[in-house]
Amino acid sequence: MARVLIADDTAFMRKMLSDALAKGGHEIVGEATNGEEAVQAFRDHRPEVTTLDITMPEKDGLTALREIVAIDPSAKVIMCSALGQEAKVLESIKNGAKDFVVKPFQPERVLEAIAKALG
Amino acid sequence: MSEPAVLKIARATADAVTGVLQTFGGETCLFAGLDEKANAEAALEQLRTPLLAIDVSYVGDVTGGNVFAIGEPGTRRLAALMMGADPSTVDDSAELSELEISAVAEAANQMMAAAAAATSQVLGTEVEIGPPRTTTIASHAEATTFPATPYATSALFTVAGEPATLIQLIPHAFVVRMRQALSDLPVDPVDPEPVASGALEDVMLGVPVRLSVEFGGKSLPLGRLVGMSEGSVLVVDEGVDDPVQITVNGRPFAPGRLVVVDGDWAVRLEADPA
Repeated sequence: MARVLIADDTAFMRKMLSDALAKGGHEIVGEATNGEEAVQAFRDHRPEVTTLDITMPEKDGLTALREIVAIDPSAKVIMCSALGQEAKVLESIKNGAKDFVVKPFQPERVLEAIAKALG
Repeated sequence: MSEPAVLKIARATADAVTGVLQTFGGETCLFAGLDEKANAEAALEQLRTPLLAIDVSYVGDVTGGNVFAIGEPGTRRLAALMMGADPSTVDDSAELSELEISAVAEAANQMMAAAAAATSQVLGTEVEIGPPRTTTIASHAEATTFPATPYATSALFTVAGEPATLIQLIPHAFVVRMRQALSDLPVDPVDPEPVASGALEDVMLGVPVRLSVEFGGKSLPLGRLVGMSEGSVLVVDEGVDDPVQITVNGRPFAPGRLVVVDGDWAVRLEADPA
């Protein structure tokens, strides 16, 4: 069980993620609708795990990832995005993401990624 | 006369979008046809208002993008499918909820991403898209304008019996690149020789081998590894865009590209095996 921050620009996806995580016994400490809010919420809540969408308005997920890792190099971030192209995956991993979940996903896949990130 | 390059891009995109719709609704979501010389405004007018239109634009120095449009009954049914509910039980007299609109915006987002990935693949170059924008079109009298592109196509789908359309506004640069890619295609590739059958070959073909994928490496003095600890970062010589090397029992087999298939790493061969 972990304290998780969710960042996604669609309300539907935030609901799907929070439902899946709640079923897995995790606590949702914050929900962000863009990268800017995600970085701020990360500072405020210091979650154990953060999930980031890539394509978001204001600030995209990759930029938010870099800023979160700069705040806390041990931050555990899971990218969760429909962009399954290899360059995005590699760029995320290179910038410190622990895993990359491609949408649409099964709830179990997200729970697995969180368990793996917590190691 | 139809333009093969446009048709190829349009078909790849329509297939990708059908694939995403079917992950939500299985056989209730179907591809219903393609108009390869569409007028974007006219294509929208074929759907009954009020409409939900989600559009994304390509990022970079090209003008164009994709618009996914679906009516209210379709929105309700697609949202129901995404939430694991039975689309035949929706209440068409109720107003659309924020969550239903958001669900369909997310579905469109995933379709656009799949469409961009498919376009990248047929063009052989990465195509990037911006964040999706969702608009409600109350009536066709409302002026909806789209960026002017030399080619527009529309693909029709049915979602639990309700119509939806994907309008593609194809940048000129994509068509030029696609024409080039089509003219570079080899003519009638020859099938590889069938493997000879025989006792020895059968034994050989059963030998287990270890396939590995190397994404990079680096030569460095041993001294640099001493004193490294958790969190240390090693930058390898290969760039993000370089192919990875597939090896079999440590010997080079073929260059490849890393891709993700259902959440697992996978590798696509970039050339015939050595």
